[in-house]
Amino acid sequence: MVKYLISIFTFLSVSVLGIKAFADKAASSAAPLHEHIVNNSALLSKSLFFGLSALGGGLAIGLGVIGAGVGMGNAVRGALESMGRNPGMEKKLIVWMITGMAIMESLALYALLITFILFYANPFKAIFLK
Amino acid sequence: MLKAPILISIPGIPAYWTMTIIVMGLILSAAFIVGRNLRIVPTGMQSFFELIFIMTEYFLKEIIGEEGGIYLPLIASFAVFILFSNLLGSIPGFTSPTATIDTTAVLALIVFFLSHAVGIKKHKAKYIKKFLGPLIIIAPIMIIIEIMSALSRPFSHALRLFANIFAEEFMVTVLLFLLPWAIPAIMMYMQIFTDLMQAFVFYLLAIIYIALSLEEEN
Repeated sequence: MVKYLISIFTFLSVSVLGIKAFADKAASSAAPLHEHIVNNSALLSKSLFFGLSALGGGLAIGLGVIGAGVGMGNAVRGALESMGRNPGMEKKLIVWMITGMAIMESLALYALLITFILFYANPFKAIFLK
Repeated sequence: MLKAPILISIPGIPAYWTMTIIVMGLILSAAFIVGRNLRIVPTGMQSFFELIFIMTEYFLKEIIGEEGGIYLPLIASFAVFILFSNLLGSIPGFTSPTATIDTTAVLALIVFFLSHAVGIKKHKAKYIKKFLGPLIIIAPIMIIIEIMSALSRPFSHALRLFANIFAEEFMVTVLLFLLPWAIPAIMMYMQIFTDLMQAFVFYLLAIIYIALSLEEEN
């Protein structure tokens, strides 16, 4: 468990440093030197914000789908096992299995909604785009 | 955000208003045409509407019980309205009214208020027992949890239908911009299945929420 946490933190810190380096490079290449010193912190915070928003959106849908996938797999396994034992129930079971799967699928779609909010309708965007 | 082009768009009015009115017109004219010459052996459209009627009657009897018959008009109109408005999104140039949170929120709020109103009407003051949990000692904690879960119900009910329909429309739109040839048509065909499924899920959950507040506590 600790190993995974360490690797996640390493990944996060590396990505933050990468964004910082990218912002420095972008600032130094785009703006002249005197503007660069003034704008550097604003640009850094802006690029950190948007980079981490994109990262969070990707992680939200990726981690959200894991749970829905496991749940749907379990549901299909249970339905198939009982269909194998009792083939007469097949039609009824398929209807309820698909209904349950549609409800589980919507859990993944909540995660997708968070991704869309982070990408397209970020509530804190106005602070950083001033 | 990416948006598919919409055929009928009146400036100043949101697109889903026009689409809701189109759906209402479609349902009313279909009901008028079907109701004008009813046959004993149903054909075509009549058998489709009778299927919804019989299915709703069956589920109401199965889940709520004998007293469920009076909810048939409401639940069956939910089924017809949601099904038609989901399917309208499959036609190019139109968009589903249910792809907006406003429409689904109204439908979910109707179910929320109705379910609690009929619960209070049936159980009177005993209705509060549903929120107190099994033991009287842990009631102060349970009441908060139960009220939270009751309040989150219309939220998830509305969000489920909205997110599904919105996501499938968005997927078709993204494919339309990526690969404008043939592939979006396959996705739009797949959309019909999700539309039917989500209409059914919303309708079933509406019945279950009403049944939950009607059942006896013991």
